[in-house]
Amino acid sequence: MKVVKNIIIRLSFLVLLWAGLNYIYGNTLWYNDIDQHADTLENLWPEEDSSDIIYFGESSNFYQEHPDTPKVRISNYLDRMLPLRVGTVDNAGLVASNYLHIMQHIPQKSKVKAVVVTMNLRSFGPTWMYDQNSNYLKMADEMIAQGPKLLNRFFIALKTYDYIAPEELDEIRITAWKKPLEFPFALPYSNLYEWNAGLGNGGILREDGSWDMDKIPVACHFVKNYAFTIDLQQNPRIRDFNEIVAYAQQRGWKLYLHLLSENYEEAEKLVGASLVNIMEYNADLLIERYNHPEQNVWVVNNFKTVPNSDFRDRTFPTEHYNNRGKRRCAKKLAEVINH
Amino acid sequence: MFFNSLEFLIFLPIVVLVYYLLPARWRWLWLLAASYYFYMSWKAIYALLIIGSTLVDFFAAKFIYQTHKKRHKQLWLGLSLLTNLGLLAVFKYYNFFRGEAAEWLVAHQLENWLPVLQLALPVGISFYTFQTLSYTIDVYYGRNKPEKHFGIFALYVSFFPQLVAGPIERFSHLGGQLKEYHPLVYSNFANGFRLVLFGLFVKMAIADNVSPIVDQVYEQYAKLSSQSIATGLFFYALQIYADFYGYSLIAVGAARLLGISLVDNFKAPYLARSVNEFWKRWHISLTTWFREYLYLPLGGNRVTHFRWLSNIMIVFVVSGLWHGANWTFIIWGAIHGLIYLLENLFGKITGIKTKNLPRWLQLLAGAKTFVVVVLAWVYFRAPDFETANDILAKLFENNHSAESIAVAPVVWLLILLFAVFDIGLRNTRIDHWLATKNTAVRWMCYAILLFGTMALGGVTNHPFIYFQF
Repeated sequence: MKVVKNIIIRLSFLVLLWAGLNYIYGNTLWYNDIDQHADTLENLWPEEDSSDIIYFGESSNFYQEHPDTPKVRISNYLDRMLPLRVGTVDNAGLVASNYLHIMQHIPQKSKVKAVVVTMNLRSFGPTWMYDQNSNYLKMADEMIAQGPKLLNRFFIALKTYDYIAPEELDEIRITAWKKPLEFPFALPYSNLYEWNAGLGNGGILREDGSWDMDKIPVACHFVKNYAFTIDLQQNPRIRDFNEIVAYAQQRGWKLYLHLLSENYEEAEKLVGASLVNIMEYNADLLIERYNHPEQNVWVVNNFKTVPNSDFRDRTFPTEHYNNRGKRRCAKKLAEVINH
Repeated sequence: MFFNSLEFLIFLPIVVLVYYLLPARWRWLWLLAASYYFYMSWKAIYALLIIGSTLVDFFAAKFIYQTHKKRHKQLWLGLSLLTNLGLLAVFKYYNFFRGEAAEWLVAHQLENWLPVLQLALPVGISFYTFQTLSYTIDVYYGRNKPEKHFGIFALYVSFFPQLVAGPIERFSHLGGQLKEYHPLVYSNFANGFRLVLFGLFVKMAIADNVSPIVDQVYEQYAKLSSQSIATGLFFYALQIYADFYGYSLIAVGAARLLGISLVDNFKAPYLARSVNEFWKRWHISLTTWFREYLYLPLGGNRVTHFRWLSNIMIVFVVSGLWHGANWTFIIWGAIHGLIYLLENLFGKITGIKTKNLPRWLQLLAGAKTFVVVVLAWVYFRAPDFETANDILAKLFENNHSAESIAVAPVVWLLILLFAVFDIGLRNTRIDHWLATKNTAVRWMCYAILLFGTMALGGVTNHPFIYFQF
């Protein structure tokens, strides 16, 4: 019994020591680690006390192709259009779980009344979900998770987040690509994998009947990014958005899910109407799933708001719009929020 | 389940707690179950290999002991060797030798008869096969009696702290301890905790922080300056040492928490003054194994001078091959063997013994050994012979205008701290050293190690290097 008592006393001292170290860490190195591993949180700090609405976004919010273009974000336009102060929290490649972890840091005493959360259709698909950046994003979540800061830091070194080795990610992605595409309409291929291969081996038919081989890579990217079925029970993004909804309701915030514009015109031109049907079907699915104004949750449907001419990228399907496109998105957001 | 994982940090306290709560007669069973669970957390099916190896060696040793005919003894020993070395041959070496013979196989239209095997290397196979081999060989030579209790023997083969990367234990040292009753003793608990904590610090704060820099140097050496390459090579020497030393400390500490003592695997190897001394301080359990079960059976030094030279080279080359099926490992082993022989020759010609030299010359000898070891590691780390040669050529190119690698000041600070510990612990072990210190110093060390491990651990994913062997 004496040994057990001895051990318990030492372990108690150890816990006290650890608490002290946690305090020291939280006031010193933690800021450096946030800067290194979860720098999006730094965007929140200047906004959390002064904003009425916080806009959470990824590169669709800020992307600038031309350096001479005025750097105006969708959230900046929104701020101009609304009588309320709209703060911005964004970073390239962020996904729903990142938004959730950051919004959990908004102080209870903050005057935030509403949050706008970017909902990117592509982010529900396996190509984005299992890309090589996913580990980094999960690590960022772990770093800012609720709990003692020193423990979070220890956990990222232990890789307690769902770390998936790069080779395994490739395998998971390809397996997901081979899953059947289940839609209530006919498709030219039974799964993404075959579709991508078929397109890659064929080509893009021009209006004059010739084949445009140069466009094959971008057409394949369109297929890889949009040809997927959203399983409402299993899809990790659905789970994350469910948690965002629950958290916003718990905090008493109005939640606006900003369904981004996708370049459906280009998709139709490069791949065909089948792919646009899938995109529309999935967009409708998300709207139906989340748009519940009676519960203070709105899906702002910008899916077809931005025309092809206002999309920046031509080599990859992105949601990078020029300023006109961004303004169009903000306008629709402002209408819903004002309503 | 890696030692530096949350799963293990939950698994270990549970194993220790239940172990001390159980009556003595059931403890072996609990440890056996825990050990198999630990191993199966990687790939459950490969537990069958351990079971197979355990069964063969248990019965082989039993029959070796029972039979009086030398021929029969040899047959049973042969079966044990064939099983264990066969496992290694199939899982570790087959594809390598098949690759080397590919052209010949094609020329003789035999490539379909000997296809490339799509087999993942079972974790720790080189360690537990060597451990069980030592058991049957010891019984064969009459150094040990065979174990009667199958469960205890199975636990000896699979004991989780040292199952996947050693230390390679002999049955005469570990077997008895697994049968003994170990009461809960405070010193075991304290020492085990100290070893595990220091091991985690060494692995996570040192090895995992330098590893991304090493990766960068080995991937981008073509555009880096000589200075950066030198830093990368130095960091790899640190990485592999901290990685394996950290693992061994955790292994010894985990066993200590259960009241079981494992052999030490490292004694400040980079302070060695010769390659000979280096191998007495580096991966000691493997060096001992090769001495006992390869070098001495080959005749050791009680043979002609030429045979002795070849014995030394055989041991070092086989040691290299043990690490991996690649020419780079063979060359690494051969370099160590050659330097060992040159040092020996130098000592014989001059009559100089390093330990009798003045201190400053001993330091110089230590620096020479360190440089040799660091350069030899290039062949160990590089993916192929050509890359290793290119890296060494770039190192001596003296191209200072090329790109440089950036090393955070905190990494240098951690390395300095590790060096202080390593020099301080050259003749002792962290747990023993801490036990002699007063409460304030002890808790100060706990604070430093805990903070270093938890707040400064590397965040990139680098499993223990020796797990791949």
